[in-house]
Amino acid sequence: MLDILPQLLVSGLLIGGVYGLLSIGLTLIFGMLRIVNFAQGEFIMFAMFGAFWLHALWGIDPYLSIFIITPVVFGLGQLIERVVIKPILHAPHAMQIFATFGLSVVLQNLALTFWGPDYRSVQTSYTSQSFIVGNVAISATSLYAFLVAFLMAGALMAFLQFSRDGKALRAMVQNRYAASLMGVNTDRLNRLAFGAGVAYAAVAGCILTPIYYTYPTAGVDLIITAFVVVVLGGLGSVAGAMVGGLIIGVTQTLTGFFISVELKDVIALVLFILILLIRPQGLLGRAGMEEVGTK
Amino acid sequence: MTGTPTQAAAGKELMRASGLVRRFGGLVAVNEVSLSVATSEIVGLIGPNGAGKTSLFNILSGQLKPDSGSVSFSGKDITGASVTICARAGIGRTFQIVKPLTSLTVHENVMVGALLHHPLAAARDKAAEIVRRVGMGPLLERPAGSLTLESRKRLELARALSIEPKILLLDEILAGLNASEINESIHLIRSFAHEDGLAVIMIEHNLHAVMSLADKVVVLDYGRKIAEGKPEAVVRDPAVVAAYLGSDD
Amino acid sequence: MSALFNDYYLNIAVMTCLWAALSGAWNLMAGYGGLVSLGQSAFFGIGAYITAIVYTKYGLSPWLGLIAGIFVTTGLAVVISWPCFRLRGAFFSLATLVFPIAMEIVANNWSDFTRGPSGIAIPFRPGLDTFIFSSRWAYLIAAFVLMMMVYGITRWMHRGKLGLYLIAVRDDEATAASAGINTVKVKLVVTMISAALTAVGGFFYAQYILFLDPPSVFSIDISVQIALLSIIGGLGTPLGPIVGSLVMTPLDGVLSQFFGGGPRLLIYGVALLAAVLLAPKGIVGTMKAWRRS
Repeated sequence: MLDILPQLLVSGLLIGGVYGLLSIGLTLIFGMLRIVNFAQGEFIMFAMFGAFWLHALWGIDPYLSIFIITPVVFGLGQLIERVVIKPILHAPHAMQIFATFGLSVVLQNLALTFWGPDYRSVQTSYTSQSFIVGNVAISATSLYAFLVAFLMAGALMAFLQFSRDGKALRAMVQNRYAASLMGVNTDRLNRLAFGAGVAYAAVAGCILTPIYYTYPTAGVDLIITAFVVVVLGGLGSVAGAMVGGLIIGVTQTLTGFFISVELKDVIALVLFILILLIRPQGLLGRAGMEEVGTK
Repeated sequence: MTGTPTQAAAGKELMRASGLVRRFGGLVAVNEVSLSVATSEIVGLIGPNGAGKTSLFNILSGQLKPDSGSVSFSGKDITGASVTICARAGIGRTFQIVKPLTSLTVHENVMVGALLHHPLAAARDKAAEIVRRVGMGPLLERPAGSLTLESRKRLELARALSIEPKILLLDEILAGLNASEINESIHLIRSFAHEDGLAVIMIEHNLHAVMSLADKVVVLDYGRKIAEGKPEAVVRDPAVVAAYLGSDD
Repeated sequence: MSALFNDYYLNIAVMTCLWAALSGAWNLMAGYGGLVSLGQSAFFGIGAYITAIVYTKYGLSPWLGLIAGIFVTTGLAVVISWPCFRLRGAFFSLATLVFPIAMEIVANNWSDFTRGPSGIAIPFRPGLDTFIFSSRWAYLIAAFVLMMMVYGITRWMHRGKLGLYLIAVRDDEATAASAGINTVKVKLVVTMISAALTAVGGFFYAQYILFLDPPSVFSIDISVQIALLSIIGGLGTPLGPIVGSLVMTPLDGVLSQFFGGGPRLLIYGVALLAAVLLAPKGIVGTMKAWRRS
């Protein structure tokens, strides 16, 4: 039974990387705008449909479609920030929650109306390919997804650390008012942050297309995991999202194998509540973040 | 409304803090501070910015738990008690950064506190009386969210009074007011102590107000108590002068 | 034919009252206390399931199920509040989202009691003791009473002590505490009242629809619908949930007649977005503002 442990750990880490990527956008938007984007899963789902159709209609490889879909979603995100997010930035919590929730319902049912409830999948030449290392099989699509996830996480951290806009964004997180006094254009940065946050969802959607089924409620099923990951890693922390993703990935894979598949989801929920109780700021989050809420 | 108007001297001890210490990481915000206040006594708490005055208030009113030391109030130990318990025991405070309940009216803001000791109808009357007393009568039914800063400061005071406290902790309620508003407030604060017999501790940068009001002044610097005594004596204290001249104020 | 026709409209009327009651119970927590729960369907589903299990499995009166349901959901409210009350704003909402999901998993897997995914069919045995009626008029009266009960409780609370305390806690918890309010107790009380009323709604649903399965009572859509009606009608007003349900529930009936799930929910989503962005005070709040100006 223990022979399989390395295989389970590797599979868990690979899927965990993807969970991390799913969660980065969420954590980015929360960190910058203090908004929990309940529609994040729908951006992932839209990107999945985008990658699916690009492949179905023109045979474009899902990994290639990252370069088409991400800019489109980035632009769309900026537009949505202007129309939906900006008006509610200083609104009461209930309004903030239901603005993004309403957005989620709209996007989900747009997909359902246009494309129907069917489960679709993309078959590529490498879909069932895998690499064998020792007695561990590594599926090619999972490995690619994992690599893209870490590449994107690294790129974001470098951007926040070194670029002018990245520094301004971090300043805004520290103190929005002070940042605006120092000449930081918070409106533009808000748009940028939201656009980037959903663009990360788009990348996640593209790399998921060869692994996962594409259907209108795919986002809902994924976003619950992303919420758990973000709370575990610490809201607003990019590194935390990646670490949290790996932990959840491994935990789910292990419980799925050793206990039962149904419990896989329960264990994530139990973890979620436990973290909220024991360490509400998450593993790498700053204390007090959860108290701030979206105020 | 008891107490004799002429009684300027302090009554019996109401609150005593002994050896309070509170650290934030490496910084010692409050360092071995002891303090006592009696009924009808006004204590001025002064010191440069960052001296630990508000942290001390937060400990006395239950917002912060001290790392060591103790607080007793009305003869009971209330060290580490919650804000709610402190308020119920009779500790009323204002916040330096005013925090009105923005979706309620001025009247309702004060009623919230008055409900602690009165049923609804009586609380409504009591609240209206308090609002009038702090000079906000014409604003009674105005939404608290629409008030000017000056009115918000008065509302803070009314809210602190609404729980019918035995002690008032006033955190810079004169800051930002003009000369005539300050004079009104000085009269008001004096009346709380001398007519109602409340103990008052006030954090104040306006030294003129402190000199004219306080029976006793306590000076904090870097979390430590560096002087305590009659206002006239304290301002001549070399350590106090050094603390003030040494700082940017 | 005309009887069927009549039944169709009666059903919409019954559902309008039921949704108004459920949304009203949520409004107590979210509108007054700022506790924006996304987990109301956990209370609703538990109320419905306990009623159905007590009646079908043990052959006892569903009224006993109602009482048991109220006890269990108020108990759950205490359990939920323990981790969730430390959280503010959207974090509170996120955490409450977990409970209906967990309950749905339990209902799917605890087949001995819940019959799992195949659900529970409740035998049709009309009578006051079973709370099953052959005429929809009886249900309408009961649903109306329930709606008015929630309305009455909200009115009573509105600018009374509990209502003021809740608004104080919602506006600023630190300020509320410094006025001597035990903020945890206030939040707990309103959550328990809301849970109990929602469980009554679940009891009604079980004995009215006579069939339950996990998604039909625990789905997040139910929690969203509950919230939507109050937001459209006017959050934090006693009349808001009723007005919201009067507008949306018949509309929903018409929409579901003409459209499938996709377009219907699409219109729902657009309505929710429009309400939040264009009329955040809801119908009742906006009309009040007009009257004042």
